[in-house]
Amino acid sequence: MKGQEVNKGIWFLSFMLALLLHGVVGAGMFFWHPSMKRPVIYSPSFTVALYSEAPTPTRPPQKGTVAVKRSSAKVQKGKSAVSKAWKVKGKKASRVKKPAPRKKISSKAKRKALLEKALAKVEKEVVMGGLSTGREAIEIRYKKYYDEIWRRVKASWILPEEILTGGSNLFAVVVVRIARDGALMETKLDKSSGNEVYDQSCIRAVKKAAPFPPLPKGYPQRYMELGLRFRPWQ
Amino acid sequence: MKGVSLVISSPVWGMVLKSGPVVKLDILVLLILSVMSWTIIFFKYFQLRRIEREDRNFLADCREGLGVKEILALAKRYRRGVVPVVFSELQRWFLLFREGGEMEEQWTDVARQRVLLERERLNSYVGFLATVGNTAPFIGLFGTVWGIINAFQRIGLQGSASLAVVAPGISEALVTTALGLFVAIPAVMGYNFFVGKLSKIEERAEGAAYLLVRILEGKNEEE
Repeated sequence: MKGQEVNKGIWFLSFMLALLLHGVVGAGMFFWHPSMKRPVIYSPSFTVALYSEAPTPTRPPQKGTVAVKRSSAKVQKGKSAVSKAWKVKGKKASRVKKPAPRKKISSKAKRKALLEKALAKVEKEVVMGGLSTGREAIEIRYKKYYDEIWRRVKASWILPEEILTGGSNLFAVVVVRIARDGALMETKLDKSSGNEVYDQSCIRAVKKAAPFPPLPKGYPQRYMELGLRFRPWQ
Repeated sequence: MKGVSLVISSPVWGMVLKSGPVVKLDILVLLILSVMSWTIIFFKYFQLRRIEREDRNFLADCREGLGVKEILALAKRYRRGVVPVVFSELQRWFLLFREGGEMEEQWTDVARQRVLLERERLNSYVGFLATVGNTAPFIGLFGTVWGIINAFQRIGLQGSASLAVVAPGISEALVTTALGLFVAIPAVMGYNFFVGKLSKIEERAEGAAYLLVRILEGKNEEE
């Protein structure tokens, strides 16, 4: 009789131990992600989100036109705008490896060491509508091209089914470099969604959509860089 | 809400949640089997460990040069071990058939019968481990096959057969196979472990009982 009681106790203890074991393993599943390692890529000049939310041509074209079209005084202003933008981005920007020209700009700005002054300049510029109108004009000019590219990429984008049904809000940015003749020069994952399958599907879509139509006439640079934003519902 | 999103973002749990009812049931069955088999593993481990310890302590005490009477009295105090139980049984029969004379074979039979009974008692539930070890992979495989059937159906509806479409469904289906193996491996290991341990206990008890029979016989002749 006594042995029976003892057995009951051991049974209970064993059951609890078993439950505990399963609980621990089950909880461990929450934290185990096969795609855990997430490469942090800060590519040089792809700070698309800095200026606007709308999908626009990224900065290189803008920089180019600024250099070409503006007089030297205005270039100065444009530069200060750029430097302000970098300052807005703050510490993150300083960590980013910047391309050579911009580095120079920021060091110049530092030499001035008068952020107030720079801000005032930018404000004035905004009031005058100097730089921003230029940018808008460029945006309109290349918007059509961008839309065409986006249409093609979307057409060749196959989403993994689990993501479509999952309704998750994944978001990836792929930076595409297109040569003048429309050939795809480079694709780079700028912002990973955290889901490897999703990222790969985005990059594959771009590669599949290539080659693209040639760049619009009068485009100042050797290639165009676009940031494509992939969202599942698009 | 946060917990739900955590579940969805976890690949394994997300897959489980997205799978169909049959696969979910399959997973549930496997989980229950797993909990049961682990309960048995823990229980048997504690039980057999205690019995082995009692046996060992009892035999160690017996070697201290005690007489038969003292040994039998000692056996009454150690009640859980197999060897003491067999000894007590022998004593009971010995008292019953004291006048029976030289009956070595009978004593041996009594001892063996008791050992078998004890083994039967200790062997309970171990068979369940063997069952789980054998069937869990099949249950998991069933879930996988079912999942793949559904996955192909959905692929067919989508009308595209790229790897991006095919792979997730199959990987989702394979979760149950993994779970089945996960359940089966410890069960099989536990089964083999306990079978080995049980046969050791049995042999020890039989050997000790045989010795005691010889001693009792000698005593019987003396009297």
